[in-house]
Amino acid sequence: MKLKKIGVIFLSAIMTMSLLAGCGDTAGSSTDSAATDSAPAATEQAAPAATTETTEQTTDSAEPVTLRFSWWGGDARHEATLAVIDAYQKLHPNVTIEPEYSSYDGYSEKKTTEFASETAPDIFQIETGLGPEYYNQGVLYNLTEGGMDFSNFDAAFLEQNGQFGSGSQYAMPTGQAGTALIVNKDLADAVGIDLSQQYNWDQFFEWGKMVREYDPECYLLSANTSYATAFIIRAWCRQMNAKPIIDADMNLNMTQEQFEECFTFIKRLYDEEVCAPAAYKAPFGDQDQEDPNWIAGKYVASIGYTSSADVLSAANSEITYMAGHLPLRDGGASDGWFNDCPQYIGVYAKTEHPKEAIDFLNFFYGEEAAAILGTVRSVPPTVMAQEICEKAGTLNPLTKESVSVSMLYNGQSDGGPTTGSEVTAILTDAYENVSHGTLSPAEAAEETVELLNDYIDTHK
Amino acid sequence: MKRKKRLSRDNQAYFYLLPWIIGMLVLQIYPFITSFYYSLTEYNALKDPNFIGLDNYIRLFTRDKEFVKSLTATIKYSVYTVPCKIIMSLFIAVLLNKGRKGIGALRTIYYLPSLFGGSMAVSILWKIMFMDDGMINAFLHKFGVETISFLGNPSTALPTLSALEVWQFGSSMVMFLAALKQVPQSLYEAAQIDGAGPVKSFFKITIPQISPIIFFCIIMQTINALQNFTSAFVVTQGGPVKSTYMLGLKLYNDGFLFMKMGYASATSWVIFALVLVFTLVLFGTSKYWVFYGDED
Repeated sequence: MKLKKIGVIFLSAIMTMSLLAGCGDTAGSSTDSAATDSAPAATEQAAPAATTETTEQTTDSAEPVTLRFSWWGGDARHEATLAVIDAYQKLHPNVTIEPEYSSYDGYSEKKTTEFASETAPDIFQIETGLGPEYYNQGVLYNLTEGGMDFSNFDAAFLEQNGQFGSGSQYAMPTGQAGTALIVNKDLADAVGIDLSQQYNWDQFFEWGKMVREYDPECYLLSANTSYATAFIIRAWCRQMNAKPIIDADMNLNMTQEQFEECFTFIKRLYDEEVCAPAAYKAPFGDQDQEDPNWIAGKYVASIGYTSSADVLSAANSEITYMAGHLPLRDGGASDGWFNDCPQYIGVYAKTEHPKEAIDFLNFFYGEEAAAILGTVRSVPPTVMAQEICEKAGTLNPLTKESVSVSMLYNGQSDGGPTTGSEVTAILTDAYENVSHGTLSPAEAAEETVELLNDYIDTHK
Repeated sequence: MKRKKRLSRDNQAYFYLLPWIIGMLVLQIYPFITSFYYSLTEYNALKDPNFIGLDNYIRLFTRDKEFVKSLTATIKYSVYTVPCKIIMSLFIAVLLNKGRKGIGALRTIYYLPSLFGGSMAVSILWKIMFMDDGMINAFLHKFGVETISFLGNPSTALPTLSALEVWQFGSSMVMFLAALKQVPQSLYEAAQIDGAGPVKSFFKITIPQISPIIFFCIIMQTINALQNFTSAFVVTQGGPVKSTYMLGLKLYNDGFLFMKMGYASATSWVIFALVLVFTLVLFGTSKYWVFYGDED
């Protein structure tokens, strides 16, 4: 029987020990990955250094080359991207491109482990908000030095999207995009709401009441936590201060009072039933198109991005959709809304085949690929590609309309620390706490400022 | 000669064990040791670790409010899950221990959920079932019950995840079944002669006789529960409002989302300490209720 005791102790020890295996070393080899330095300013020099190092390893174009290309998206994006890969491979028989595609769940986390183990794909899609973070980490290849062809692009657009203040292009924008309010025009007209005109934030309360009176099963807004955090909290700061919540110099630009005012507004949205209940929306995550109430046309508008216009409108083809204007703050320092890109595509700093990777990207942004890709990554980023899509009839009118609306505004992007994963998590938690009523606006504001200051202290 | 033969047999055994030993050293022991080192560093997996002593631990216990929420959620989850799973598996094992027709098929059916383990597919299935418009709510509607937001409400999300774990009771059930078969029939016969009913026999004979297995199952299930990750990650992503934000998920987010590997390593050591404390407490209490049969 003593044997039984020993057996139990031994098995318990193994079980508990296995828990720690997950946090083990992946980077015995990553010590030299410090082409990066601790300070962001230093990485500006470090990242190009990686370019020089890898360029030397470039292989001759006639040799067989295998590149890995990873992206996230839905079926339409997967099919179109695979078709582009296929077309490129036909032109370059020596190049094999291995596609790695999935939904967005876990995509960024996977990239983190790949960077740590130096096994990241040669070419990869990047979430817009994480672009500056990746640049600072030195994992992006300098495309300007690598000979990328920018001739079809607007120089000012590129400067704002993918250069991260460095003067060189480190990531290519995949399209033109911005925040969007996708409106169920049929319901809006029936209730008597006109979202094609400019309005202020308070107008939501009046309209919300009208919708509830029209039909108690309907709501003005479908707002998932993730998108609504960006739509309300980040825009609030841009409109109020004409600055991001945390700027590139790591200054906190939004005061506790401003946060409290913003959170009070969010609380009212739920208390006054302008938004569908937070508990109802939670299980859908950011997949608003899967919400049966959206499919059934029970929301006047969904908070989202221009890149989600096609999936939201595809949920019910019998409804007429339009792109609504975005709310403004009376007497605000800025209108706060801006046009940027839905994602970036970058080349891994440690790729062994930078020349081939860039050659593929040149094809990806060329005429043939534009016709294949259509608007699977929002409205294309070049006029040339837009014209091709227009002629081919592949430019989704709603996506185009929502991009046009986002271009009416003149705000500045808050890409940088504000859109980094940790700050985003802090803001999302605050939104969730207020929308579920677990923290008062004052408590949430106090906690948010405390956490943001803590973040700044550790990252300065 | 005999000794030589035995040595050769020993070597054979070591040879067969070698893959496991290598795996253990590379995948368990090495990360085990390095994770402790990293827990004392600031480390983002891209740059060299920077030694900061106990700062990560101090921060965890003094400044990280999320850690307290995670710890609470994890302990609550264990408290909900372990007793329910043990009772459920023991109950089914006792039922299946009767020699009825078709019992083999029933045993397989009850064991099936455990075959899927903590898989993604089961978690996704659970998510779909417990959505507002899912199967469970559709069933409840038939009895006039209003829609319950199982996954959207902070007070119901954690019990829903616990139910998923309890549902996978097969492995404990199989162990209980084996243990029940070992209980000498003569004990029941003697008790019956002395006038003991089935309930009394169960508590006075069955439970003490299978107590080492109950003990083993409690320890294993507690360790499993304290390390929960998959269901929290897939079904709720730790929400709503961090009500299901288990320590395992916090560790993952800190490490792979926020790239704070040193901090995540410190969290993993806290979980390790927690598991160790729970296990030692259980071992401490075992002398009062676990009957090994070799005691005086």
